[in-house]
Formats: sequence, C-alpha cells, structure tokens
Amino acid sequence: MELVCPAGTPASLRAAVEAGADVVYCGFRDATNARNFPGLNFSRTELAESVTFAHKHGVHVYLACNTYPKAGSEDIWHKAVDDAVAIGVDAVILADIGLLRYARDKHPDARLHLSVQASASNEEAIRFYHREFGVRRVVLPRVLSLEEIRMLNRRIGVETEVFAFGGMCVMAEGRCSLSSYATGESPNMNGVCSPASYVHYEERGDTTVSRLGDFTINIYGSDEKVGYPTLCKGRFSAMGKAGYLFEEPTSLDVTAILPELADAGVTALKIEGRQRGKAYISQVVGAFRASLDRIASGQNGQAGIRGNLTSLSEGQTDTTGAYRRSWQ
Amino acid sequence: MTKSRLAMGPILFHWDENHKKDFYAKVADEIDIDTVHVGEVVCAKRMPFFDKYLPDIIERLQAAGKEVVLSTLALVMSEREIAQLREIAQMPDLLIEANDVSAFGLLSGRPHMIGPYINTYNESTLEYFASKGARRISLPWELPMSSIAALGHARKSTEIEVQVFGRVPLAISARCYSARAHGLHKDGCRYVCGDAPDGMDVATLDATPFLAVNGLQTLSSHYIELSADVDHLKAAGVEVFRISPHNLDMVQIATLYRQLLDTKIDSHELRDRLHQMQSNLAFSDGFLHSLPGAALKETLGQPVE
Amino acid sequence: MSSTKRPSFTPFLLVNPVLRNVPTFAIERLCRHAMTTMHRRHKSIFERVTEHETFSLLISPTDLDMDLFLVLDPHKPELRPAQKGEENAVAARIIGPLPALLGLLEGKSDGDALFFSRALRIEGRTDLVVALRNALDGEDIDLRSAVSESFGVLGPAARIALRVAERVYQQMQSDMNRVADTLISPIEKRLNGLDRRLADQGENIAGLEKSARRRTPRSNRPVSSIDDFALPDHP
Repeated sequence: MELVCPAGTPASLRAAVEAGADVVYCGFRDATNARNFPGLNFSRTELAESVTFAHKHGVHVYLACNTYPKAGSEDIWHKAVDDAVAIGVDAVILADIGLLRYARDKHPDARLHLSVQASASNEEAIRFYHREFGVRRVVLPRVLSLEEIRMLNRRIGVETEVFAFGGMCVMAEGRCSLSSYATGESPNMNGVCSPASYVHYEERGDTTVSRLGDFTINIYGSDEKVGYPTLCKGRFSAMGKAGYLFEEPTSLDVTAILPELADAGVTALKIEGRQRGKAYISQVVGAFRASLDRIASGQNGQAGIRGNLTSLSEGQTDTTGAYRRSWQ
Repeated sequence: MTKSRLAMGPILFHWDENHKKDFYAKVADEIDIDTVHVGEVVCAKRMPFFDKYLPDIIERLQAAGKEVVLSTLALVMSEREIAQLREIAQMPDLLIEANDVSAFGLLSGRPHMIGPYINTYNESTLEYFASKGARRISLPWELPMSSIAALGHARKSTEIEVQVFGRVPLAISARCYSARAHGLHKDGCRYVCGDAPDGMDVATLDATPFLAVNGLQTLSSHYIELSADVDHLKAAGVEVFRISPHNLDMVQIATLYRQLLDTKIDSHELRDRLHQMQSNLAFSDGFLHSLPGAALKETLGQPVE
Repeated sequence: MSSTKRPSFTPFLLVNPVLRNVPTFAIERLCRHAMTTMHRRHKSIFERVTEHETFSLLISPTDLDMDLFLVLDPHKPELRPAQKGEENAVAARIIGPLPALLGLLEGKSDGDALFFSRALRIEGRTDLVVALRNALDGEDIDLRSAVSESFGVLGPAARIALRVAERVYQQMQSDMNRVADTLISPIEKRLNGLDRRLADQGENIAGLEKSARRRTPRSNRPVSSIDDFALPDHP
C-alpha cells in the first residue's frame, strides 16, 4: 500500500520525504484547501521547489484543492488547479462537482482524485465521479467499515485511499455545518473546522473551559488529557447526562488492522495532519513506513511500534473508528 | 417574477405511523401548499415502518393537487440502500429528490431535483446539474445571501429552493447518537430516536441550548426563520420556499408562510404568531447573513440588509 | 489571563536561585542578543507570522521564576523579561516547561501533542499562537549553531561547552525524575490502595448514585472526567 503523508510547510514536506513517504499531499495558502490555518500551506514558489525536491527523491506530490468554490469567486479555485497542473503535481485532489468538471475539461491529462470532502461513500457515487470526470482514485469517507470497503473494492474499478492515522471526523465529511453554525466558518466554504480565532480558554476554579464562539465546548480538570477544541469532540449534556456525546477526543490509528486493509484491496493509506508539525510527521510517517515494510517482508506489521504514537493522539488515545462496525 | 411557491420538506424525525398518516392527511386536506416531500432521508432502518403506506399517501396528496416529491437518503452506505435507490429510480410519475450523489447518478434521464444535502455551492456545479436535467435545486443551508444571489443569477430554467423554517440539518454520521445517548449501538438501537419528535435536545455544559440529535443526524437547536429576508430571496431568483415539518401545528405555520409569500402579512406578524403558538422557539438566520448560523441578525442590533 | 503557573520539575528549576541574583540588565542583554540573532537568521518567520497583524505574547516557562515578553514585529521584534501586570497587555500567553518550549522552537516536539497532554497551555488568542507555531515549524531552527555563531571566533569552544552542558542537563533531568519517583511512589502506592477500596465501595453505591444523579441539577456535579456516553467497544 502507498503511504500518503501530509505537509503544511516545505519543512514538513522534507520531513515526510525523509521519513519514507511515497506521496506527500499539501495545499495552497488560501481558502482552496481544507486546512486553511494561519501560517500554514504553500505559496506557488514553495510548491514548485517542493515538487522538484520530492521528485528528486522519487516521491510524488498531490495538491488538495478540496473546498467548495464560492459562488462569484470560482476563478480562485480554477487558478489553483491550473497552477498545480503547471507546477507538475502528480495528482489534484478535488471535491466540488463544478471544479471537477472544470479540471477535466481544461486538463484532460491531469490525474484527478476525489477528496474525502466529497463524501463518496458507496458504489454508485464512486461510479458517478469516475464516469463523469475520470476520477482515478477516491479517498473514502471515515464512515465505512472494513467489510464495506472490501465490498466496494470488489465492485468498482477505481483506486481507494483510506485514512490510517490522525484526526477523525465523526460526521460525514463535506456535509457538516457544525463549525459554521457556531462560528460562521466551515470546512466546505473556508477550509477550516472550529477555527482557532474563535477558540477561547478560560480558567474557572480548578477547571479549564474551552469555548468556540458563544458556545462552551468542554470543561475539564487540570490533569485531564484533551483534544482539539472541535465541536464534535466536546462534552455536552442531553437526557440529564453529560459527556462526549459524539466522540471522545481520540485519533484514528489503523496500525492494528493494516494487513486487513491490504487484504480488502485498499491502494493507499492516508495520514491526516497538515496542521501538525515536523516532529509529528517524522514520527508517524516513520512508524507507518516501518510497519508497511515489515508487512511487505511477511512479518507482523504491528510489532514494536505500538505505544509511541499514542502520545501524538488527541486525548492521548486512539481508535480504529468506523472500520470496526461496533464503533457505529 | 413567477409566483412564489411553498414546499413542505420531508419529515426528518422518526414519528410513528399514525403521527405521519395524520400529518399527511392534514397536509392534503387543510394546507394551501404547492409541493409536499415524502420519504425517509435520515436512516434506512426506519424505512420498513412507513414504506407500505407511501403509495396511498402519494396518491392522496396528488389527488389533492399537490406536487409530490420523493426524497431519498442523505447518507448511502450499504448495498441494500443502493438497491432501494435503484427501485426508486424506476418509480413513474414522481419527482425524486437526490440527497446523495449516488441517487443523482441513477436519476439522470427522469424527472428529478437536487436536494439540500448535495453540495451546490457555485455556478459551475449548478450548471452541471442543470445540464443533466435537474428541475429544481434546493440549496445547502449554510450558503450566504451573496452565494444564493449569484446562483439565482446563473440559473436558467432550473428552479432554486431555500428552506425558510425549521431546525437546520447540520451533520450526518454513520454513528447513531440517539442510540449512543441511550447507551446503545446502532445495530441494537431499539428505535429510541422515535422518543424525540423534534430531535433530542443537546445543551452545552453551561446549559445553553445548542443542538438537536435525530438518530444519525444532528440538527440546530434554533429554528431557522427567514421571513425577514423573503423579499430579498425572491429578488435573488428563489422561487420555492421550504418549511420543514416539526411537532407543531404545521397547518397554521404553512398558512402563515403562504400569507407571507403572498405579502398579506409581514415578518413581524409572522414571528409574533409563531411565538404565540410556541413561546420558547428560538430563531436564527445567521447563515444567510454570513454570521454564525446560530445567530439572529435582528438581535445583533444591525440594520437588515 | 490570571491563572498561576504550577512549577515543572526540570533542571531549570535549579537555575532559579542563580537567576534571581543576576542583574536585570544582563538578562535583558541576553534576550536582546537572542532576538537579534533569531531575526537575522530566520527573518521569514517574523514576516509570515505578522502577515495580518503585529502582536505581543507572554512566554511563561513553568520552571523559571520569570516570564518573557515577546513582541512579534517583522522589522523590530523584541524579547525581554516581562514586568508585573504585562499579562494584560499581550494577545496571548503560552505556559509550559522550558525544555518543551525550546523543543517547540526547534520543531523537535509536537506542539499539539504537548497541548493534548496538558504540558502546554494557551490563554488568549489561540489563532496567533497557532500561527506562530506554524511559522516556527516551517523553518529549520538550530539553537546549537545559533549559539555557537553568537560566540564568533570562540564558536568551536562554545559548541563543545554546549555539548557538555546538554549532557549534564540530560543527566540532571534523569536524576530529577528518579528523585521525583522516589518521593511520589510511596504516596502513589497508598493512593492505589485507596483507589481499590473506593472502587469496591463505588460498586455498592453506583445504583444509589444513579438515582440521585437524576435528581441533581447538572451544574452541581463536578464536571471534569465525566463521560456518561462512553460505550463499551464491543457490544
């Protein structure tokens, strides 16, 4: 399986290449990509230099242009696709139907991947994107079980890429307005979820309160492990109970089921975290490279690497998420 | 400008069969409404309870002169759900609403519309759907007025629809949060989502009302209420105005919006009357005004655009 | 921004008695020198982070008796010991042990992981701290070469001294961890025993508590560590 790794800066891209990535994915420094965070992402020049560097090391680069173009400003997204193709990235990752059509018509030879933000969770949807826009690979939404992925791979003639490690959307991606409900900014339109500029921490007695816009997302004790202040990983109350109604602060980690994913016909593994630092990227990419190499040589991929990634996870715990049906 | 039309969205909640039958009987006989949606949008597990009554209900609504739209699932994951979509795509004499791209792929070549769960954010996407024969496009809830206006301007014969009343669907998941709140998994859910006819109230730890959980779906706690902007929406090219069913007197609510669209009452009167019906309804219109979706522009003390 | 910092058990704690006796002007000069070097070597960080606005931060190492005042300005950045009351003049405050803060500066530790484990805390404008973190992470900062460069012709000697200092530091940290373990482990043992007894008791009163909970308003219950919605992984 191909190892697809994140990079929020050229330094992270170099770290990913050095740690053994097969592919690095990144985005331009604007609202065209779904990690539009302050101080992050690539200028055109940085991308061009990074692509040269990666190619020299035999590593591919994908560009994520996976937000939904704003009506009246579509040219910004069109330009992003044009520039990425001109720079020579190995694939462009898209979500919007209008943008897919533009890319297909304008750059018939470009390799197009379907972003997880398009939330293509079934055979018919994937067939549609393949038939209409020649999409060659689909990044599967994090709602599918291992069994469902296996069935899909048997029936579709398109490569699949699945999330292997990192932050987990518990809601179907690209179809969630929780962030804009609280802050006015959404993954689909602005490339952000629960943006930092709306996050505030306040001390209340010996507890810390995290707030997003006007809403309290969590209240936690001073030694409790925490996650990002994202809406779906907050504590809420319902039916006289309180707690993590949607999901605990946790990260996805499929190390334990790598052989099963390979067996299910998955083409590529994706590490989440373009917003994370070099240290995270070196550690996670290195660990997965080692596991994949061990599996390729017929050994147990899990041996020896468990434990050292958990400290990088939200809430310092991990899960196999929807891949195991009991998660639902 | 063509006459503005009023549409009753699909029932999002797991009401029992009598509740639903009663609701559609009233919609058929007592409401001056142009379009009525039927069908399950949220959870395939609920379908067997009501599917058997659908043919009769569709017939009754059509006989009462309503345009009937069959809404389809928003999150399609299993083989069985795909098979159901294929069957639906064969049904004659019915406008079908695609709420997932999978349904759209099966529907080209027959009368269909694009539902609000499909991401229509810009002109290119709208033009693509129009070129494939979409008769109407119901826009996603988070779109601001500027996007709606741009899309209204770009549309040719395709109708544009916007939801003006009801809790807003904000997210959908493979995980069932009604079941989870009851300490159950989805596979053994006991249909506990049926206990909350308007969704299960979710508050912050500071007891601020925030969300409403409806099985796999998470809705806003606030009720979207866009009566103050209906004139702008009309001017922007919106022709169809959707109200979403709740466990309220929907006959009266539909009548109020009908009167509003016909300019017989204004927004203030409509809101007063809604509050008379149910005093604790909290309204929002933030998405339309590029504010947090939960906000109500009026209460921010700014002039209306 | 009024929270107090709790001390972290790192070798820097031992520096405090010395630090208290160093004249302020010397510390100020050291800070100024560090900032000038940083600005010269990594100008782009300052440009990137101030793309939208210039701002100041308070850096609060939990193992030093001193806070640092940092002004992020593309042309005139500033670093100096903070004065009383300045916590209200900054956009945000970063609180954490110095080794972690230095690791962050060099991109050797992951800021998000430090945050998840609560080693690092942020007050005020989270977005500006995130922007700074991202800008720092985008550069390859090497404190060792920066320090040796500062010593000019004495650079090679400084480099050796630094290596020795680092080794001493690491040895001290492991010694201190051992001391901490020795101090804490008897207490921990007793707590574990107490925990077990409590757990036994807890089972007996769980039923009682459940019915009481139903009648207790939400706000009266301690909030931290609550998760009433957690489900067993396998049904």
